[in-house]
Amino acid sequence: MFKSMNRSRFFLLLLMVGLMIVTACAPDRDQVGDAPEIGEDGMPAKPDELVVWINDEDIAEDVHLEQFANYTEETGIEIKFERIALPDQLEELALAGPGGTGPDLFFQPQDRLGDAVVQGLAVPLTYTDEELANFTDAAIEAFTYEGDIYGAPVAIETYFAFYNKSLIDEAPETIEDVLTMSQDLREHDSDLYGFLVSPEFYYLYSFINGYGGYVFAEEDGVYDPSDIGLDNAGAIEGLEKYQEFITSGAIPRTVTVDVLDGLFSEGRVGMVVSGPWNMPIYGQALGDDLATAPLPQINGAVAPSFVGVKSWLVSYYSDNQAWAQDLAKFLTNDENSDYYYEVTGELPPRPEILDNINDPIYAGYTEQVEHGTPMPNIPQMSPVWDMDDAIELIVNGGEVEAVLTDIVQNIKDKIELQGQ
Amino acid sequence: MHPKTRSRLELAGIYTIFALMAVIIIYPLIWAIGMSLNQGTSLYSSTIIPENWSLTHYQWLFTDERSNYLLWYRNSMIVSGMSVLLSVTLTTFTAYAFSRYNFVGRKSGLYTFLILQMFPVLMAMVAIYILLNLIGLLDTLTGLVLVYVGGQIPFNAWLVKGYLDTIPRGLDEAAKIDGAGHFTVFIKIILPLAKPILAVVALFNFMQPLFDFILPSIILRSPQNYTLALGLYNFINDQFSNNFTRFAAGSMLIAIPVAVVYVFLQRFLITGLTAGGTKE
Amino acid sequence: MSVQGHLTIKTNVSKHNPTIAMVLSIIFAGFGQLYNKRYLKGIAFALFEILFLVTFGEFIGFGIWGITTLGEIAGLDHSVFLLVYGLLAIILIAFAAVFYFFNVKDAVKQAKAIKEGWIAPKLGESLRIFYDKTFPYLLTTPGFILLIFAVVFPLMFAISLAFTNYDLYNSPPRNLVDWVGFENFGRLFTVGLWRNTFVSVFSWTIIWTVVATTFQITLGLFLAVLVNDARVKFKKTIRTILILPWAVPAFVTILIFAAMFNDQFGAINSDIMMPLFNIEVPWLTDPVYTRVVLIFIQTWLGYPFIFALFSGVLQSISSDWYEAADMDGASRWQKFQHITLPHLLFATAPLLIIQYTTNFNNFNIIYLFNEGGPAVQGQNAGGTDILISWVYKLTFDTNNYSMAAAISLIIGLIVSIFAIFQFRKTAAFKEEGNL
Repeated sequence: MFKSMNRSRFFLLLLMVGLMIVTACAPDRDQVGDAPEIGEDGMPAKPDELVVWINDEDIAEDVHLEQFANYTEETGIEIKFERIALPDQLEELALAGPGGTGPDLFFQPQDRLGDAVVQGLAVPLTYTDEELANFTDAAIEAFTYEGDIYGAPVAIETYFAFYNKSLIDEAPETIEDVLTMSQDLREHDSDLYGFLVSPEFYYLYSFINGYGGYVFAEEDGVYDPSDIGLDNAGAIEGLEKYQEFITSGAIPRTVTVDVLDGLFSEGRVGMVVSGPWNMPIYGQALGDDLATAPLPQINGAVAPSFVGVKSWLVSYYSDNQAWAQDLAKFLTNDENSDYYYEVTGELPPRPEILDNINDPIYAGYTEQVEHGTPMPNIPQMSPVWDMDDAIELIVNGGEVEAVLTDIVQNIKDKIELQGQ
Repeated sequence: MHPKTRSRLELAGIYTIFALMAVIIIYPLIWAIGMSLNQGTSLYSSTIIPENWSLTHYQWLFTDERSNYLLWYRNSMIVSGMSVLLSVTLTTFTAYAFSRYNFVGRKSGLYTFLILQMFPVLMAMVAIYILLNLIGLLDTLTGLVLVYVGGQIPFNAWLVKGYLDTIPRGLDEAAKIDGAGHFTVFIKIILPLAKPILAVVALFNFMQPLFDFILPSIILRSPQNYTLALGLYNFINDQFSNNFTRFAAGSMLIAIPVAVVYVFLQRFLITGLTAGGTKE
Repeated sequence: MSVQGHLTIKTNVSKHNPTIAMVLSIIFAGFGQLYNKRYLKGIAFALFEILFLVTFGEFIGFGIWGITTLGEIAGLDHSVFLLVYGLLAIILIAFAAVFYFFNVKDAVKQAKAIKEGWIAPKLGESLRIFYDKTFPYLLTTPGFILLIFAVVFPLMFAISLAFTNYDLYNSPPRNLVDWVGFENFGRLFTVGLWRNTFVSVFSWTIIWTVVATTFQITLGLFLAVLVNDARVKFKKTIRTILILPWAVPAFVTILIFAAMFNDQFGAINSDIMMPLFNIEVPWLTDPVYTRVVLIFIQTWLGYPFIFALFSGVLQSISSDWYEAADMDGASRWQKFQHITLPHLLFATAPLLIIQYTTNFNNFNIIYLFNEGGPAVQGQNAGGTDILISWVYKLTFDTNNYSMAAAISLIIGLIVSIFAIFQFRKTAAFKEEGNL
């Protein structure tokens, strides 16, 4: 009995191995190169529907509903949209795309562009020079990767100064003035704060860059990830300047975005650094007391800020890439860009619109955009956010130079770990 | 010291400890309620009961057309309900087999799976995603329920098996002699006696889907399919602006019914869990 | 009739050959049974194999090709999907192999029996026997199948990833993923990033696991004993309040605590510490304090389960024990030490072990409370990062999935070895000896 059992096991094994060898063959590749037919207008046949991933925000839905309806009216193509938070879109796309439930068009800021391109999730767009002329150079550069343009730019985003006119008459001109203003205000009433900025690398890049620190060395739009300037003399000097605000008690150590928004809305802060996304929230809370200004001068010039551009990207997995691109261009044309600005208050990167904005509340925003530096769009950017740890250590009293040397080394190690 | 005085002092000490615990337990909860009544969106408020308190966030959850709260509530109830039904059935089947029958893998089967579950598999969510996509259950409540049910079996089957082991075998053997079949014994004899532990398993399986936001965030995509935990978590998972007060309001509305259920099932919870976890 | 039947069997005795049955059943499921004249079973088995091959044959072939090559044409083949299909194919093959094994075993066994003159029972009777024999399998199969897909399959995927080069630059659709053997494990020891930080993260993970879990068990025990005191009234109300933390979703509680412990704006400092002691404790900015708070929160979250568990056991300890101890004049402490405690621990040991292993990988609390922070100079993990949260962050920052899988695997091995060791110890303690 046992003997035959063992034998049968052996046969069974043989059979299974045999089965695997016989059946493990490559799939049929006939479908390769199944190019869609091109119509007379140079476009392939119209799909019934395009799927678009928009940001998971009420305001995004507000603005796009109308635009999508117009596109459907114009072309007859239905638009189905899904709300997916921006930071999650790439990871979701990497799974949903090949799974067949991905979008034709998705939405991303440029700092994730490198990730998208390196993985091959986005396809380049074709723009005529005429079309390109409608966008600011900075916006197009932000979405150019290794010579190809990957995005139809929707909005240009940066942070600037918001101030409360009931507490301060006008925004202080230089960062030194800001410190004095802060101390005056706090002496006057200890429940008040003069100036708050969230302790995050994103915002504090102004201090770093103002004195000559930089993320990656750049030449003609090409970044060199091996040259990191976040621990150079300028970066150190800038962050030491920032540290003064903490040590002098002008800025409490544990400010977070939520605390900052809460305090400013309650009317307890003279001036904060924040972005256009807070325009409606602050406006509702403070009414006419709200005003904006470019960032104060650091090292003799308006402090530079990170500029982010948000764009529509066409998915690699889209079956209708040509039409997806058509939709992307439609959504970023003059009319729709203008409408986008009206609803969201975010500035479209189109010179024509930018030049015609007269609303005083946008003064700070429009002016600051001109002083911005684009966030690098290469994949090596993601470890750079470790700089938040450096900021935290500095806020807690760490010695700036030592902290930066240390964290930048970590960033370099992580970039190495990313592989190539 | 007089023994009676000593006993009184002791008792006073015990009650003091309970009072202290009550404060530690209730303080954060009161604080969360206070937060949910705060008009703004901020997490931070200077007083525990805000000066300008209002029910706006509760109102928003129920009446705003953008709010999917009631839908999420319904989804969560469906997921939890289905998960309870399926889990209790499958888990008891499994546990009964492990408790009463001899078969291949009986000795170490449950322990093996308990240990396999100790491996951190955050990365492996991708695999579940692809599998559910393959069989068309992605972004469905059914898919979510199946994963929950599969994952809970080792621990709960082990609990139930422990409980069933305490039910004397003589009972089912007697019934078998009287001609009862396998299933009759199971349904007529074992199930009624196992009620307390089944209540525990039911409770666990009701709570787990209700409280978990990680798995749903992988499996569910459409907001109308979200469960409560996922929907609530998304209120506060925004990069630039969070809505803590709305989150608190939504959380309170789920915590209160759950707390009530716990109170009612307390008796079962304690007896069931004990016998289940204890008698090997 | 019966004589004739007897005669046919007699003639079969000499002819019937188990080896033929075996070979036939290997060639195709059910053929052996047909040879044994168990027609219904034979047809059922054969039908099963046909259905299986028709339904899954192509998928299995594709899957095996997928998992061996991980794709050949970048852009068209998606390595990760192929890996998953391959694993599913392997699971299907395993199911089939088990079925086939029983098929062959059954054919051989019955052929032997027939050779020795066994008379096959009638259909109804044989079905009953079959039902009797397979009943435990029938009971466990549905659960088992779900279990395989929900627990084993994801684990197989995570393990497989550790042996690939899946990272940002080797990502579909642009590129393919390849098998690289043990390369990731090798790199673990050579990349400087780990070496500097691993020891400190690992030691905090151990401290966290041991202290937080022990605290929650001790507090649960302490309160259970107090409530169980005969003199205490309103037991039900007290128990209800004590169980309350269990009834609030943990992620909600953790986030509320995070807000309360904010150094300057949280309620703890502004409502309690400042008015009463006039100090502002750096809860979220000093790693030591953050660790203390984390342990406190985990205790708060975790003790109700232990409390409920122990309350039940306490009620079940026979009063005879205590009466006997009273006769011997034992003190209260002695009674606790020699009767209560052993009873409690003996009864609940495996559950307590699971508490420890759960906390070892308790990603939620660490990440939701302060994202592993505050930052600590000189290491690339936060001051409260445990292994699992550190790996998560590294994956997130560097998109190096295969490396993360390799570390996860090592973490899993550490925990499971500890658990196996402890389970065995308690089993031996209970003199069951086998696991």
